[in-house]
Amino acid sequence: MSAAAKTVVSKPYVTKQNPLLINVILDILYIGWILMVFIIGLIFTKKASHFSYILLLVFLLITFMNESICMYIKNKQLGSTYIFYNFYYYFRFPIIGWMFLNIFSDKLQKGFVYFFMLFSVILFIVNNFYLYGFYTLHSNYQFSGGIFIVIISLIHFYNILKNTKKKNPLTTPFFWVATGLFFYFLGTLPFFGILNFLLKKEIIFVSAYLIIIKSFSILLYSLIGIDFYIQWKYQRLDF
Amino acid sequence: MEISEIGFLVIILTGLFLLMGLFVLSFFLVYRKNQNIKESEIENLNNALLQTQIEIQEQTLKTVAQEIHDNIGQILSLAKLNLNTFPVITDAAIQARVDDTKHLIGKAIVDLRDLSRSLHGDKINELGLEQAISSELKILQNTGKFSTGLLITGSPYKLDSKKEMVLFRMVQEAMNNAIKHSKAKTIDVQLMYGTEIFQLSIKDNGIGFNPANLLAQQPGIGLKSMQNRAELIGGIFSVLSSSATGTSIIIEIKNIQPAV
Repeated sequence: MSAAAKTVVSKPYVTKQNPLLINVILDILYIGWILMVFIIGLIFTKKASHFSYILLLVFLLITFMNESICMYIKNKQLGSTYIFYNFYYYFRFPIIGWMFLNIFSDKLQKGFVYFFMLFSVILFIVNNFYLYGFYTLHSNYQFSGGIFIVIISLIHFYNILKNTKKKNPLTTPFFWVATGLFFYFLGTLPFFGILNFLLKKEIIFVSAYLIIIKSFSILLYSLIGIDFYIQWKYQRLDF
Repeated sequence: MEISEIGFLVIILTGLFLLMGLFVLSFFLVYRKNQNIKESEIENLNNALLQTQIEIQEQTLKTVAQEIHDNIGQILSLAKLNLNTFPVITDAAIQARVDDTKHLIGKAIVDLRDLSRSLHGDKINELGLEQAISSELKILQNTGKFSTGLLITGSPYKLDSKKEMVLFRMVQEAMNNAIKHSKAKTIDVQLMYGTEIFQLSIKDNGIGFNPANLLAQQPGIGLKSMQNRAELIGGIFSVLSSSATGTSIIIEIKNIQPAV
């Protein structure tokens, strides 16, 4: 009886099924939000903007493309999207690191970012060719990348704290980006830490939790949008 | 059952992490706010200190000016009067020496009067900023060692008397620096009365210097003090200097409100 019950529960998630309407709507909202923030970024990023904002635009564009492709594959049930997410993560964490690398001036802080970039390359090779392969989510990298982003966000806050010239941290460039990244990765750390385990054992929970993750993402991209505006407004960028 | 517990654990951990993050960010913002309050208090204290220093300096200069005018000036006037009341001297050589002495005493009286007026802060209120600066430049021009000029652009308006006093003292300080250090031959002052910006610039054609070095290392030269004074009256102080073009000291006051 219990064996039969197990088969009934696990079957729908193994076989193909139509995605729920709520998930499709949420996906469209989520991707649309990224596109909107990207457009805001295009409007407010000027030639005189800090180079990190150009990188932020690239980051948003690649994120938008990746999420669009993954949504299409998922909705058309063309196969697994894990390979796309794996490659996306090996792009995402280093490019965020690169953004902060351009902002940090301390050698030790820069060294920490360089170390993580090297770590990413090593983990890319190890995870793809020796540990997980291409078609399993590299949750160890997602987890360590999350910790890395939380740490560099904290470093950024510390740097703002030290800089007494800027009176209001809320108008400091990259403060909102750092805040968004800080909360997003802090909120998703426990989930990504045991993602592979949850995918095997707790697929319903994962589906439900992804809605929370997407809400965090929307918050993150909203804060990025605010930052684009703040850097334009407070640096009086006319060109 | 076991799986639900894991899910529950993930949610609890996420909540805890977010709370921790919220605490860290709140701490950061509150700490920064307190830091700003402290900095602002220190700035206010420094401004009050500077204000007191300026008032004491003004009072001292006023006393010295009064002393020169009332005491030394009177003595010299009396000496000149005494010489004028001398009986006619028949010896032409002695008469020439007496005339020379009268002329010298007369010049000393004029110079002392100029010095007294220059030191006295009320001169600004009486004459206005342009006239006071013009008078300073004239004194310098009369030495024969410098060529001076005053250019006024825009429609002049009266500034707040405290601001005018500080600006006048800064002009004196800049001129003093030019005389002592720059080896300049010409000193030009420009007053620009804009609708929203007032700008005062003092330019010389001297040997110049590196402003960054002076502002950082040698506050004694008066530049740092001038910067502080400019900030006290809400002005922006800038120095442009090179061996080719000399030195320009610019004080800019934005959102200017003419005194009624």
